[in-house]
Amino acid sequence: MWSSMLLVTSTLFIPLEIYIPFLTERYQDIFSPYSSGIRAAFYGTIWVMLIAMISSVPISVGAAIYLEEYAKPTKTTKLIQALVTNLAGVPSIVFGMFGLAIFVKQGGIGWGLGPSILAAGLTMGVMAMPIIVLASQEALRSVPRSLRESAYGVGCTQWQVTKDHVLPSAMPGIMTGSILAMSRIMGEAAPLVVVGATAMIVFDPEPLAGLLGGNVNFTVIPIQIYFWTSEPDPAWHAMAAAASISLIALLVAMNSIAIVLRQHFRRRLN
Amino acid sequence: MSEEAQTEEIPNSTRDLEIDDEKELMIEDLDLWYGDKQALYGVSLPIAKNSVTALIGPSGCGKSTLLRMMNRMNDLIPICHYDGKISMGDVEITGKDADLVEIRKKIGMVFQRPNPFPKSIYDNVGYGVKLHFKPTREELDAIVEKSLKRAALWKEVADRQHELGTSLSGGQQQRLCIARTIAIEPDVILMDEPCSALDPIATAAIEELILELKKDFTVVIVTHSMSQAARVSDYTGFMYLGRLVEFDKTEKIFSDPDNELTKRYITGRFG
Ligand SMILES: Nc1ncnc2c1ncn2[C@@H]1O[C@H](COP(=O)(O)OP(=O)(O)OP(=O)(O)O)[C@@H](O)[C@H]1O
Ligand SMILES: [Mg+2]
Repeated sequence: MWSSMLLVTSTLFIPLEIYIPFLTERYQDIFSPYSSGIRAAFYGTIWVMLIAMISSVPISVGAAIYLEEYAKPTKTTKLIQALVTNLAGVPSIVFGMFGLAIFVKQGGIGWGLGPSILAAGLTMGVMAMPIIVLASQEALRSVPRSLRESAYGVGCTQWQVTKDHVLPSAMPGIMTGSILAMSRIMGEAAPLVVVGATAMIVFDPEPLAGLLGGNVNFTVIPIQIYFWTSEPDPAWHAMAAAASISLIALLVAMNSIAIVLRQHFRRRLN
Repeated sequence: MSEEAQTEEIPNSTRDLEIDDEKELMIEDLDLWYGDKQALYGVSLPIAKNSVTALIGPSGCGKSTLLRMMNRMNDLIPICHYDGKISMGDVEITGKDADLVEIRKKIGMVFQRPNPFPKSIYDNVGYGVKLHFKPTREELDAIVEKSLKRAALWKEVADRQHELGTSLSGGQQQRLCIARTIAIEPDVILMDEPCSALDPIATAAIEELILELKKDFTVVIVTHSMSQAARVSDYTGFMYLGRLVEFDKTEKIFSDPDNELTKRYITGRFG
């Protein structure tokens, strides 16, 4: 606990002249660790997260609204609910296998996106879905009944109640849940090893290469860390440590955004 | 004695349901259950137009339940089911294919706890109007102002209409909820203990307002305060354990009730 807090605060004292180049400098080659940066991995992480967010948040929030507000409590609903709850606990490597079968491979049910950022983002999106659904349901459930009643009382239809009243007041919870899901998948390496992230990337990743053709190779920060720690030259180990700190800094930044957003919305609502 | 056995002995009001005034709502033989627990037993009650009808009775006797039936608010509770008929003119409120939006537009509701939307004062009043009537900006401004005036709130909020409704005091919030309700121009306003969360001064303000409102609207109010029922209402219904024990003109109920239970309740010798 204390050590992690120390680590997090210490990242704040790294001067930006070191920080920024480390994030934006390219990987050079295997013999020059100290002039390498994590540019490709940094961009890769950002793109994977963006794609994961775009592909998972709307569907998941929609599913949560359906389950929480519309679905009648039938056997099927209960089954779906149980599945979602269990999916949230499935090991990440299993999602990696799923992504490999559906998004990466060509033929059968495969979409044939190759080992690309797009496939990685979609895989991570699928992994984030159950987490976002559960967090959103929780947020919807905590909207007070009095708010729904007052909305029905002025003659709202169910959809108007949901869209004008319930959803806005559940928004802080939904956003926090989504961002926390994103920061969780940001740290995952296992599923992307399966999907086919590589390590020694010199060029900036192309996010749509899987679809449009081009260079599909990509990497993300956790994978970069993993590969660097397995190099024999100890200089790379120091680089891996630096990359870890960057990853933690990114996580702290995301969680801070979640906190700021929540405070902002809470102030607006009260 | 079990509650079940007890309720068997309580008579429903036998008074015939003819009243001198024109009727706005008619409730006929309403039974209601929460799951398998019965909460209303064969309640029949007329609601007179442009008057105030008060529902009184001890806690848990079904006042709120009966009130919430009148605009089908109980439909939000999945385990609730009912049998019987409520009609408004020739519109059958309890009908299977009744238009709930239309019903709630015609029969507004003010709740026990003031529950303004987490929106500005202006939007609180304007929201329902925009929903149902699609007014222009100027029309909406005028309706909001008029509604706030009728709810006796305008003087206090005229220059702060864009502040949050939830930032007002409890009594002001309740009047805001009344303004929100009358902005839609309903025929009936249902009020469930509208003053129970308010201090005496705010309560007096709301009571005065109710007397003003009955010129334009029909008001049904649930209250725990005998004196409030006596002050504001024209008709009073006394409920006990899910039955309407007695219903009559308020003067009659408070001076010379027919039923022994009613007499004991209004004189405070109950239980
Ligand atoms: N949502 C509900 N689910 C189950 N039972 C309920 C529900 N609401 C009310 N009841 C039951 O129905 C009966 C009547 O309740 P109701 O709220 O109508 O009483 P009331 O006269 O309004 O009481 P109070 O004066 O305390 O508000 C009570 O026995 C209560 O327990
Ligand atoms: Mg009640």
